[in-house]
Amino acid sequence: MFPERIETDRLVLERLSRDAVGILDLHRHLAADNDNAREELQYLPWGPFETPMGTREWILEAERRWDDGDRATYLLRAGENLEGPGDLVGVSYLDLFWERRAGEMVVWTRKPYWGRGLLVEFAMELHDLAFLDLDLEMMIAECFEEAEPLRERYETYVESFDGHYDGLLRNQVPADGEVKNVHRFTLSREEYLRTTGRLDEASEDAAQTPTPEAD
Amino acid sequence: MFPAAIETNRLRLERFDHEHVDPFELYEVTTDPENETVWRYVPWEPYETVHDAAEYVDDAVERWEDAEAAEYVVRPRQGAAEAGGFAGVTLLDLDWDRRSGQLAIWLARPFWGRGYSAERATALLALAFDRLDLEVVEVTHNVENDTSRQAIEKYVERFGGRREGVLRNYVAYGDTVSDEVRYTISRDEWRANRPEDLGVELIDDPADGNDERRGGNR
Repeated sequence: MFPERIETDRLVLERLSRDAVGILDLHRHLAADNDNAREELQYLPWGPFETPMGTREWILEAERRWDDGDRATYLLRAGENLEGPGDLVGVSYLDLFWERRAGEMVVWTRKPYWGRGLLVEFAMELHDLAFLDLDLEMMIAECFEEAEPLRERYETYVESFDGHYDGLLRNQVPADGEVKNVHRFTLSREEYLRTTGRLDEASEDAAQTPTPEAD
Repeated sequence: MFPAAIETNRLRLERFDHEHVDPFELYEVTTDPENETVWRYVPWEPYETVHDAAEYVDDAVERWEDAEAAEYVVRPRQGAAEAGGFAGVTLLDLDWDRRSGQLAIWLARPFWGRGYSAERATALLALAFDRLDLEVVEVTHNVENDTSRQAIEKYVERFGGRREGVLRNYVAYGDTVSDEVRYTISRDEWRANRPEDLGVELIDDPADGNDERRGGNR
């Protein structure tokens, strides 16, 4: 259901599996005793992992959920137009909530690749996949209330695509022995296609859907 | 864990099981053309058959026994207009991992406009906070559902809760995906705003073992 491989200008995305990466190779970048990993993963809903077994199980889960069609997990590697082609840049996945016709993207990139516009580059690819190929209506982005850097990033992201800040949801996600509050942002298919100047490419349905008057 | 009945000034909520709910009555009320507008914005719909209605009661019993949801049939109390009539169904849906509960209700058309929704909300909030020690109770309504909005805004404000926002594509029911306005009331807000005399009585069935706590005093 999902493309096994996607190429962008500077990146190659391939399905995360034991064939695509060695467990120990990936674990090196996700290990709990790696200072960078702890910082990179601070606000993400998984890792860092204490042992390679944690990384292994995470890869196995990605394989299983790919087959189940409810999560598409990609390994991000440097492409030809980036230094060190083939080097590991990060991992990103798209969660599918089919009943709600919605998706959520979660991203991990390694520190050496921060601040270089790579995020936007492959995020657009995953949004195209979600809205154009999988025909979803809505992309959701959520972060814990205290994850200030992520909140700022999502705010910029929804603003640039005319999306919405939906609100702060109290007691939304159990984590670390407590229940966390979560900021929720959404971006509709119509908003995404309009702000990327491609509304014409969309199906007639989307083109004919008027902008909601108020909400 | 849940009280078998809850009484407010005008309402009696009774455990939604085969002793208190007749599937024929449930089927009849939900399929009554008079109630057609009731289903417009809620994740319920009329039952196709009496058998479906009976199965819904089975499901509610199971959810109750697994402590996943406290579900009640809403009836006006003795002495009130249409006493004992089938006014609707309400529940507190538990999400223990999140220490949260979600309120839901549908009321048959003749019982609209009487403030019943707020009255049973007070009853279920008392259950959620005073007995079940939840941290947050949440409630949502479809963005276009003005009737529910008015009822919910009033009791959320009364107990110091807040409107969280419009959550797009938040719930799926049937073939539709709904944008919902969500509100929450926290335990702290409840305690700060709860009047001493709430007018709510949680009534336990001794057979349920809910009075274990008091057992030591006997």
